[in-house]
Amino acid sequence: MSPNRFVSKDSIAIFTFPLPSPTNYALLANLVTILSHVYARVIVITGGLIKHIHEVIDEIAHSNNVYIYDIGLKLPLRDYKSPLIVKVFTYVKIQVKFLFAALKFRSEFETALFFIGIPHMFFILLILRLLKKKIVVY
Amino acid sequence: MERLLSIIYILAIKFADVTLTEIVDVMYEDPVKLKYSKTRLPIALRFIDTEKFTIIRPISERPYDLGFVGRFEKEKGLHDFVIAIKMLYGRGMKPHVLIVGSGSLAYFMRKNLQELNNVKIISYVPHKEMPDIYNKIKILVLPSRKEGVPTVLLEALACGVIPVVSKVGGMPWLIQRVGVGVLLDNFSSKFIVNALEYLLSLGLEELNEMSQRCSRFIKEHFTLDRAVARYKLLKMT
Repeated sequence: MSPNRFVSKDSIAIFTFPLPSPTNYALLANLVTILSHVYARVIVITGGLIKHIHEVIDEIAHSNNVYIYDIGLKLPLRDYKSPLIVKVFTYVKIQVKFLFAALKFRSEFETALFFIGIPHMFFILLILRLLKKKIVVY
Repeated sequence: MERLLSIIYILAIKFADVTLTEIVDVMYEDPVKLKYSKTRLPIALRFIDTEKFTIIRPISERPYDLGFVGRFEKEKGLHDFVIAIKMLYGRGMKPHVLIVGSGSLAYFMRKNLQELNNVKIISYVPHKEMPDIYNKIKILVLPSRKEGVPTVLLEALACGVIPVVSKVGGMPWLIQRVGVGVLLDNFSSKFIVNALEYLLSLGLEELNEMSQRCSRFIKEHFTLDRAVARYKLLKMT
């Protein structure tokens, strides 16, 4: 068994859709803190986290086995007035960036946990299923 | 759109190897998870940082009799809560109420409650400041239509807030184990009023004892160690 294989077996990737509510990030921090004590490596794939880092910094910033991949995008607030085309474009861009992240890290985890906004990540879930990952939904 | 998302959610559960849930008692589990999960693991209860979320102020020194913390959405049962507050006012009780949150019903909340002198609405509080908020409230009301085990409830209990909650999701299981608070048999505002009248009629000593029990329960059962032990099952499954 190669070292990489060992690492991927003891690693988990958490996919959480970048919804706008800051409370989601507190929930995410709680889950990541727990999993960082269970798995050797926790990869978090989300977006817009930097803007909310003050919410979660105490919990996860000091965990050296947690890697956060921030796609740098999140959905606008529901009452945010922007043209539909902009919203659709942002949504599609998020999907593409999530897919890119899933493929980029695919050899580094064996288990994929889908946390917040599961229906929005269904396409990624299917891809990871085809790649024979263990799929967990919250 | 909601219907489409629900269908996709069902498909996601069907394709998943494991479904995590916070709800231990299958009686209150989301029927979708019960029906479509290949393996359902009730291990998803989170932990509470009880160094931060703890009793800072005894119940006798808390300025607000009632509180609500959460999203201002229909599923949170806010219409009934607003009617209940108005009914209490109509009966001559004028409880001090603190409401924290935001959402699509924000205008409804302000419009209906701004005329009442003792009601304060705050739109957003950073998570780090929540222990102080909970320590200003004696009784937390969560008349939700749909819930898991809300973080708000766990954090409030840790801070010694006495709960009045609806019988949905993981809340009945939790409240029955804590042994403190009131479970609403019905979503009607009359039931909320009855529960609140009962609790507000209790003496401070009794409320203080209840408050201590809530906090003690969370300190014993919602530690990081316990959560880690639960999640180890996921690795073994």
